[in-house]
Amino acid sequence: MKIKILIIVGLSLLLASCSLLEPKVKQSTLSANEKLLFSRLMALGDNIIAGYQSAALTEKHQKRSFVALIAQQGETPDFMQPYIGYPGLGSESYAGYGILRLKYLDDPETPNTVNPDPVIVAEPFADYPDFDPAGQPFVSDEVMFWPLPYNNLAVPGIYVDDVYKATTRLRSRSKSGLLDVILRNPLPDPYGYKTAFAQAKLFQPSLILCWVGMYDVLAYAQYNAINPVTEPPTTKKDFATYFAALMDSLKSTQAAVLVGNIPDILDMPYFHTVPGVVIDTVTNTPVKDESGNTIPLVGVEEGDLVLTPARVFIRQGYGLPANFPKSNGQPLPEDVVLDKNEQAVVLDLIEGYNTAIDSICEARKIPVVDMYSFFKEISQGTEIAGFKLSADFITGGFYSLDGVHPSDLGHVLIANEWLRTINDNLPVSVPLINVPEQVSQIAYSDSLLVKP
Amino acid sequence: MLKKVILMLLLPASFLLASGFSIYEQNARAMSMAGAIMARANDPSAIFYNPAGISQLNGWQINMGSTMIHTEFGFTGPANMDARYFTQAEDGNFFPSNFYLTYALLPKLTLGLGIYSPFGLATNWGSQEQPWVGRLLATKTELTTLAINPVVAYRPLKNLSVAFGVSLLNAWVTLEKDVFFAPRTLYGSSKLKANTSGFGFNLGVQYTLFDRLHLGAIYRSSTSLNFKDGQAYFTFPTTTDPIVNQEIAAFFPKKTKGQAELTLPASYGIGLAYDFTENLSLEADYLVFAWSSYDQLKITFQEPVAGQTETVTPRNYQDSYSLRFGLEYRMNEHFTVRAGYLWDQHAVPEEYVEPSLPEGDRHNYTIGLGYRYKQFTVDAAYHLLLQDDREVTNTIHQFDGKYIGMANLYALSFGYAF
Repeated sequence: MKIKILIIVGLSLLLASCSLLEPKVKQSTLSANEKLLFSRLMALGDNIIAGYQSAALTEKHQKRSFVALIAQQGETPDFMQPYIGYPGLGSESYAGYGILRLKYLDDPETPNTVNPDPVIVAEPFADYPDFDPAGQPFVSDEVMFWPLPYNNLAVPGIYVDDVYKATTRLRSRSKSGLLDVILRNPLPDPYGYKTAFAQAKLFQPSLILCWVGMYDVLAYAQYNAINPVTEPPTTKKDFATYFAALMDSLKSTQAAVLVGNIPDILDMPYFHTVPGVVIDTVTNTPVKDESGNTIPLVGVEEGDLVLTPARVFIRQGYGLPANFPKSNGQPLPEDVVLDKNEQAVVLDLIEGYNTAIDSICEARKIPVVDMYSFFKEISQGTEIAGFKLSADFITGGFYSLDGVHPSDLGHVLIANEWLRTINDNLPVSVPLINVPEQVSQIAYSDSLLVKP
Repeated sequence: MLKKVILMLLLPASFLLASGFSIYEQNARAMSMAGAIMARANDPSAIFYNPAGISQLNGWQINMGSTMIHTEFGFTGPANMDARYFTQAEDGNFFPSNFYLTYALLPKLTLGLGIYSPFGLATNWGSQEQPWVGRLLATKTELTTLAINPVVAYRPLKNLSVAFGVSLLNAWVTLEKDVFFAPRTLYGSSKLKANTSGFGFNLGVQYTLFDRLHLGAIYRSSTSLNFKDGQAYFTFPTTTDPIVNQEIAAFFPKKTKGQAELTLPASYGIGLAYDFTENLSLEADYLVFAWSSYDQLKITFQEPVAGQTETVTPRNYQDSYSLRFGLEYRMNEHFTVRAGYLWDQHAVPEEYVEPSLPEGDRHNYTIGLGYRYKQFTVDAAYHLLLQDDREVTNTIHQFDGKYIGMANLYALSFGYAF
């Protein structure tokens, strides 16, 4: 009897020692071969891949760009970008301003608003006397005189063919002012005048990330007061020709190549933040007539999209019906309204560009990162590990203050999309970014929080 | 002090063991037979397992006990970040307790009172110093329940017993997770604490055929809980920018009232036991929890939080069942050995699995020993819970990965017949 009891007790104790079998590998790490792929990482393209955010290119966000994050995950040595000092260079620079800043989430001068009315200001160069936008806009001489091509040679505001044709602003189709800054032409010998692609080729890249074409259509759709685009947008045929030539050039480097396709720009908050109806400035809600209907702005038809810069015109009385005291009697300028026909042109171009990208890349066995679908998912509202994301302006989390380019959080998510495509198509298994942890670092580096 | 001790015993820190967040381990003897005792429950813990069983008891009887539970859970992922990143939840150590009292008022009529925790949940991921990757989904989740369940059992025939009981269920809930203030890229934390109570009832029947074959069936009603006076707290670190601090205060009230509704599921089952000999019996039970009643978690705030006065999280649980087998062998007049096995089906569909309830199908192995001396009984049990690794994809929170889990349970119960 005692033996039986002892057996039972012994068996119980044996079972009691059971514990969770933890996985042997608790975190992904890079192998030497995987590091080799990222050892000479190069990025080419236009706005987003350059790290342009809140209407400017500046070090603070360049360091958080998705390319920089991919370099961080791939442990790219000496990763260098053309870091621009604060407040950066961008669309407001012609007027003496840099990056946009959220001054107030809800304007304290209009405390009775039902919906918050944010106050966004552009940082004036005058407030940053150490910043030299015309002469030496880089954060340091080390960056400016970096002896190698930058790992990120993407230039905001360029067109697809500018990547392999443009050497300076004047010798480009887009006339992007940042070409001169980022390409640093004329480069010292033996480089001479080199395009972004030519500089990339000199670098003998191991991996090229290329995302270009969005600005070809965005330039047509957006409003630009100081440097208006007068030429028609890149046609689908020309885009296909230029893109094929660019891909052939990239393939000639023998590097692994990855390409992003074009998001539907009309989903971006830039096209949806200003409603096409009269807004009560006290409550920040639509004004309604005696029948309870909203009142459309003058110059806006049903189905039109009102661009974010329209807000400035509306404040000056444009678009307000004549019976409103602040009306100046003028309709909203058509430059800040995208009518149905123009929207159709934009959508047709994006579809055409993406069809070309798919077929050209498929023929050349170049993996395509489906940014179109990813941005579409964001615009429909999604959640990733508890982050609730949407195309809502400011509160949506994904877009920066210009309503077009992604925020720091947006870049983290985009980086993971690119890394996933890299893992799916190349013989590597690179750990994706821990989004919450990366976001946590942003709060501290923005000096909003002081580490205990 | 005495009140605190009583609370510690009766308000157990909770855990999750059976499907969803139900707890079926309410007595050492039953636990050692994997809870397969519906047809032959004949000690005071029958109040929980099948109240009809108390009609077999004479005089006053008391049974009380406690279970030491050690839980371990881990998560690998999420796949959209690092598919190999492993996070282990803080190990859980809990001591839920139970108390049963019966009194045979008349030869055919027995009264009983049970106090136990039929539902419970406790998960704890990460810490303030080391936040975990799912911090925006769940950090600390606790649901504790305490049922006070008076029953009356009647034996109209020698081989037939029926019972009816009502239960007052008290529940305490704490939900903690981090929140994100997108305009300023800042994390804060949220905490919702609430308690409430609700009523339910339970029914039981036992029937014996040919003196050897025992049948049992139970039904326990659902219980609606309305946590209407909960307190919601939102805490953000103070930033270096006073404007940002004001914005946070405007978007996230430091303290506000929160209200939530939760329906704990009904359960029903049947059991079949057979006495192979006078000393050897085997039982098989089939038990269903109607978890489909838990379709969403809706929390309503008195003041807007991040511009919203209501958050709705779909849960869409599904009804789940368990198959239980229990063997009991009386070695002699003093000692009894027991063993059991149960398979428990998950209640949470794949796309709704999230870290506050890292649930999956479970294999459970139990073993135990009973000792009887005159009117005094002692039962001890060990229960090994092995949860199948659960790889989830297409989850609504895009938090796909693999959950693993297991638990060791040790139970001790004491009984006395007056």
